[in-house]
Amino acid sequence: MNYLIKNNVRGEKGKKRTRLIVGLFVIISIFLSSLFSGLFSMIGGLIWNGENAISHSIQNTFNLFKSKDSLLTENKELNDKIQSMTFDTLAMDILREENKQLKEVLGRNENKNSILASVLRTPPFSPYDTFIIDVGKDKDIQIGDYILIGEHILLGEIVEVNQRSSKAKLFSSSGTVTRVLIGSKSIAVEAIGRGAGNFEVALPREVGIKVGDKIIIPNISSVVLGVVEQIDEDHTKTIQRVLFASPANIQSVRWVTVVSPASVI
Amino acid sequence: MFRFFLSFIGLLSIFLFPWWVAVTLGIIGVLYFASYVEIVLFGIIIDALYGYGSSFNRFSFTLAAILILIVAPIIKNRLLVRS
Repeated sequence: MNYLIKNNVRGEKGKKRTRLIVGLFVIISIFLSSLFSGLFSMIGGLIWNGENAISHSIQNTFNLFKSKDSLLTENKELNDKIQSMTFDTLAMDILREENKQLKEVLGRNENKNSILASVLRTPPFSPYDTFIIDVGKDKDIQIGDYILIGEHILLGEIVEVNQRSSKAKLFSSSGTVTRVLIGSKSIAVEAIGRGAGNFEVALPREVGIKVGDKIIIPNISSVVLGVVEQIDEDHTKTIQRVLFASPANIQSVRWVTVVSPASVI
Repeated sequence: MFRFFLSFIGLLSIFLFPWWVAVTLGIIGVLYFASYVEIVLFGIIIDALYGYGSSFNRFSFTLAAILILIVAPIIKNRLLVRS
């Protein structure tokens, strides 16, 4: 049955050729990682923007079938919320303006140039605890720029910039060490990331820390990194383990602000 | 046909679903087919899309996929011998 043996040889050759091609592909992807990153980020950006557009139109279509009563109720609730938030915003504006004037008197001016960016992907989609945002070299984003929610909640820093997208590593990424100030006494410590917006800090037991204390990054314009959520209560140990987390839900963040480090630290 | 379908869904899932969906589909492919090299492609794309930096950690999924591809036939042979 010689013809069967011939087919087998051809199959083996095909397998070898496939393995060679895959091996070459792997080597090229390692040496030209930035090229591959840019290419697949571009493809990803197109897919994710399309996904957002489709999900918005599906949501709008479903809204057409809502009853008039439920829409009126929702409208009233939202109006009440807006009114309450308007009063809070007014009070915050007054405080912010006063803070700015005081800093000007002390000769410490803030200058924040910030860029608003849409978040295309967050953990758990990303296995490396990274955010992918829709701005890149087209908006002069630089490696090392910080990403914040609003103006005062710090999330991470930009680690890779492509033409129209960027990747940001979260400070809470497992193993990442960040210098912070903790509690009302602003004790300087190093926070270690534990992933998914969670951090851990080791402090002497004598240091008075309580749940709800803020953790900030020391700078001219204080930025919140997290809030204390749990404290290790084992009194036999001399070191207490303080666990804190970002006040924002990492997985539901949709918009971030990108600022240069000079304007934050 | 099934192989093409699985590979297509796996590639799409890298962009549309959490990373572990593509990894699961890749492992299914490796277990089902004799030489499912597409899993290496999945690893390369996941690393290119979500990884950063220039250290070896950036290529974790690519290297893991190659390892799975090498080890899977050995495990499958042993399982077949035992059964």
